[in-house]
Amino acid sequence: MTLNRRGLLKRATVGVTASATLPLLPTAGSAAPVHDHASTESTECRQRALHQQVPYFDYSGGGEVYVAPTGTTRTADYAASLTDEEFLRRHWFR
Amino acid sequence: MVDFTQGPAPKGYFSPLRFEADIYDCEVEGSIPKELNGAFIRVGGEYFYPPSRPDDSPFSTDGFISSFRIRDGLVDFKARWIKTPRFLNNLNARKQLYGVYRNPFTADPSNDYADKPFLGTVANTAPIAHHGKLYALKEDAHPFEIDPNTLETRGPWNFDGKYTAQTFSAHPKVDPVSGEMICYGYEATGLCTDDLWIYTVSPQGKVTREYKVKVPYVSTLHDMVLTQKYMIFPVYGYVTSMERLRAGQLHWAFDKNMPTYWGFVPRDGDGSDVRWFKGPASVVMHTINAFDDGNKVIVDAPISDGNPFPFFPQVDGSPWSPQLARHTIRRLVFDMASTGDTYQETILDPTDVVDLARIDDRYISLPYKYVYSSMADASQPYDAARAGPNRAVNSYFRYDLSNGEWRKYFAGDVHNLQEVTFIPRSATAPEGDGWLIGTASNYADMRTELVIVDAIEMQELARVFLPFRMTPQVHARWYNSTELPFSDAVMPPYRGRVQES
Repeated sequence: MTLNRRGLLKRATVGVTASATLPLLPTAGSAAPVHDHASTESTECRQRALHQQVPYFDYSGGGEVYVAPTGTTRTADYAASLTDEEFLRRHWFR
Repeated sequence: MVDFTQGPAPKGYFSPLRFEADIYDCEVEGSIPKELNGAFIRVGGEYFYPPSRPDDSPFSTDGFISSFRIRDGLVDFKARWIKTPRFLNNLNARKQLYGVYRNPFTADPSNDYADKPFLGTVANTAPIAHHGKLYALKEDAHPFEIDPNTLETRGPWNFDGKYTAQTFSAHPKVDPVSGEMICYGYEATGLCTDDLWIYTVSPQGKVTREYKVKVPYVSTLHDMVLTQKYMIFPVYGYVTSMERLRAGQLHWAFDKNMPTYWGFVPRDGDGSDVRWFKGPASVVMHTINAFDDGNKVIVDAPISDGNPFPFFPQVDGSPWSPQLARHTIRRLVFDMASTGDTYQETILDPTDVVDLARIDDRYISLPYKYVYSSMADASQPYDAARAGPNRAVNSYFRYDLSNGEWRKYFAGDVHNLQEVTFIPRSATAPEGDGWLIGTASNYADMRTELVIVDAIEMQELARVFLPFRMTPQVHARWYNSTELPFSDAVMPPYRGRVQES
């Protein structure tokens, strides 16, 4: 089976979607039993925030919520947003 | 498998980059002053592997150094990871082995470095050049020497074994009169120790004096100020303890009930001569300058009344307050002839400023006139449709201490500036005669731009375009070709084969 650019991007999109549904867990098995936020508050109370061009998770509710500018979505999201016809119209190379 | 999708910035301008870069002969708009021969060197960080916990401080990001090498009006750009043991060990394991911010007790069980916490450093805070050497700094370990041309890491440096503190601050001061570097480490003998050790390093790079001081309580001593008579250290509201670290918490929490202390160590004395002054709770993460005035000492700093960092929690559990995080330029007057332990504090201007303030470094420890920093100027346009809704620091300013005059430079309607640096036009130019230099994040076009501005007229002279966004710095400095041994070669010598016939 041959894999063209469009197919590769679709595969990447599926992979990203699957991983995005996973619960938020530490990537290293190292979390201590007690710490400032994660053990006492659910993940629902945190939000992606920005402070002096530094992204972080805000737990206090007082941080500045970070909203990425439109037009800067990841490639896989961009590809998934287009129909096959529109993709080929914009990207004539294969 | 590396997965940043659950991190704080999985997409957008601040999503992970993870690469090193070389751009030869960058795209330039305008005209770069021909007198500029040196490099604008930035140190910052981003995670190469995601942090071990989502509540980690962004100050745990892996160190990254970049350089805009400028000469003859041309610019070459280079960026490299700082090869700390932490970075290399993580890469070898292909995962994050280290714990949350400056807490080795939260590390992967296979990685026990609690008795040597400096092994967890990420060297991500600031560059400094002295005695012809370039270093990347973070306050939890020794400085990491960096090759100024290749930006490759040469490793930690202990000044031939004469610098015996375990830590080295990100903000040493170079005395423009003597050429000495005044540097220090807090928590100097291990995690949560109340030892502040201070060193004088000669212009030749030799440790010439050591001062040992006990602090009133263990806190962040991120920055200092210098006069010709005193080395001065603020101690303020961030607190830590071994109990806190063993409980798995970040190194710092903010206690609004802790007073601010200012410690004065006479440069011609020793650590036992320290004198502490006491004031209300505040945060003095960065300073501006200080100087002697008869029996008085004048200290200027951007100061906030509360915790400026929302990712460091309040010890009482109260929510973070953006209002108390505001910084204003303040002047503190200390009467060294008095027998009291108080000082006078005055807000020089109520304007909100970014606390990354700078001066003409030839006036460190001396009377001076101009303060430079950046601000979010709401009177300027902002294109939220292209750049997103987040606030932008869009302007540099010059504040004249002698008359309160503001002069401003606006970088653009989709730009967020980082720390400014002043470059004097020449070694003998009057104070303030020179250029401002710094990088701006172009949120709309997703690229980093370097701006060079006339520091008197506050008019842009040139802009350098990188064809990509670059990790925002923490701190940056300009060093000219007399301060570091820069090569004139555009790229490393070619050693491959050549067809001859």
